[in-house]
Amino acid sequence: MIALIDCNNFYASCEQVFQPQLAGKPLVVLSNNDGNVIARSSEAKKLGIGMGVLTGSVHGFVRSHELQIRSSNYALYGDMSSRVMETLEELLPNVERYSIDEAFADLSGLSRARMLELCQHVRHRVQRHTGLQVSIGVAQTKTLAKVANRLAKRRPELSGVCIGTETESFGRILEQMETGDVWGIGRKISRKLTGFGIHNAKQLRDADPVWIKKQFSVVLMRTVLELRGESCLKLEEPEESRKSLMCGRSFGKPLKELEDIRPALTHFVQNAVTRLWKYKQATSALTVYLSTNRFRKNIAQRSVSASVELSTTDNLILLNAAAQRALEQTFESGFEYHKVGVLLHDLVAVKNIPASLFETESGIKNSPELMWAVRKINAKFGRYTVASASVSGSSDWRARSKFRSPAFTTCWNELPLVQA
Amino acid sequence: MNNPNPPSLPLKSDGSISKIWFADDSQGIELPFYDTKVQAGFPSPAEDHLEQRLDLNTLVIENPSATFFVRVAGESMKDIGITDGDILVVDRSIESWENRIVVAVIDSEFTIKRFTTQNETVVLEAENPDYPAIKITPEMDFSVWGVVSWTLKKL
Repeated sequence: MIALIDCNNFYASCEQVFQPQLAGKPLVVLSNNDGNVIARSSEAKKLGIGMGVLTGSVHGFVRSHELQIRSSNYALYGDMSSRVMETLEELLPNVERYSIDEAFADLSGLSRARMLELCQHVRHRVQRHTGLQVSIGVAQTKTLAKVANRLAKRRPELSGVCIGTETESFGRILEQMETGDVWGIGRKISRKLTGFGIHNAKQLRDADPVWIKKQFSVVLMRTVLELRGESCLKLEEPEESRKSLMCGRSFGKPLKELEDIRPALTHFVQNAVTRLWKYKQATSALTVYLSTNRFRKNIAQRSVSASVELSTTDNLILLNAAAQRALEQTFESGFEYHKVGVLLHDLVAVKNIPASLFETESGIKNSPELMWAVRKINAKFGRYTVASASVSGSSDWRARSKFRSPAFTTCWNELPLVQA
Repeated sequence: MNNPNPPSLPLKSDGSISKIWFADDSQGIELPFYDTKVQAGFPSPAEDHLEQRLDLNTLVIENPSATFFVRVAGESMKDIGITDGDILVVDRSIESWENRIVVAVIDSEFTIKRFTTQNETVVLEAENPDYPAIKITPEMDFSVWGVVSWTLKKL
């Protein structure tokens, strides 16, 4: 059985934990340069505020003080994300960090009652540790766990946990779901499915996998199988509508030196950026994670993250340089590191990148030659980092994040104030 | 006392504690520095990763994912040495609040006080005679944010 643990309204909730005056209030978080709504508190959703471009009605709510706004604060979100993930890893086996606010875990071998107890314990513990609420869906496959999670969020009587042990029991729920709400299915595929008379997720589940493979792709066929309860390990993630992406995993053996960890991080940045390119997306902030193996009780433990902001880019060199700088910030010698990873935030379509004063990347991006060159350069990575570091972090960007809350958890000068 | 965030605090509407969840102490940080004998002369190469300088983090942070820092404004806790400008280490994982110094949220503001229960009512005590205790009434929006475990004071 696979559990999907997902933070409720993650960005908005991170803001609310440190700004009690925002708790229970309609709140939206804006993208970098404050152009788009990228996250909403549940109260903002109830006001009917949508994602995407700031509309007149949003401005109206702000003017009438019904709606609070904040610029995105990736230092805060990145740190809170690692706190959630660390807490999950303390309680659950085989946690797979999937995005900034989602993780999968393997709950195989537990009775339904034990799963329920464990999931409620996880919810309580994450809430206590971080102030954030999570919802948990459990099912035979990742795709069904997503469906269960959706139910856990929508039905208050479930108290945030939905366990679907019987795959057949999903029928009615799938019937009420549009295909576009199924994990991994974008708008385009959803429209094409409608053209074939497949309107809801149940119809998709019951479609002939071979026909689906022929008409669509092997990826969609796997989704069909997953909806039927057959776990497909090679499941591809949905990339079209994602807000962030994550890449990283544990090393084959513990690494102690910064210079040994650099190539691993470069590798993950390359993977992440390749995925970024695939859907013509760009990012404006990243978080690097570095941690020791918490299950080895006899070694010194350390788990850290650092975030870097830069003007919106899909440039591998810039992103890798930024990631390496973040790594330098987090790295401290004397520990046996086990895992490194990178998280790209605030993904936008490339055509939406605001023109930057510091645009220096035209003509060198996205080419296979670049990938090749970067691999060559990795050997001498230190020099390269220094060369490109000066380009990132335009102050132009910062000026536009007018409504940003302090970096409450990552900066000594910005700690929350408590009245004594 | 209907604080929408965080909702699952084990406090009843009258302020008494309805349920204390089990605290799990199985996952404190190991401090390998103390696990090994102090070496005289050169240490064994196999143990070189244990020979770090003392790290304050290992002393003041027991539960990294639940530990936050906050800065104090005001003098209501000065009799126990917490004064304006101090940095406090707050461990949110500590679930027994009675008689501890806590960061609480009262009507959307952070405050630091001593948590006590008197006749089934939560009373937040100051540590300075000039400041009255705060009795938590059902109308107040109240929650405990975390327990203060250390004070960092610049002298």
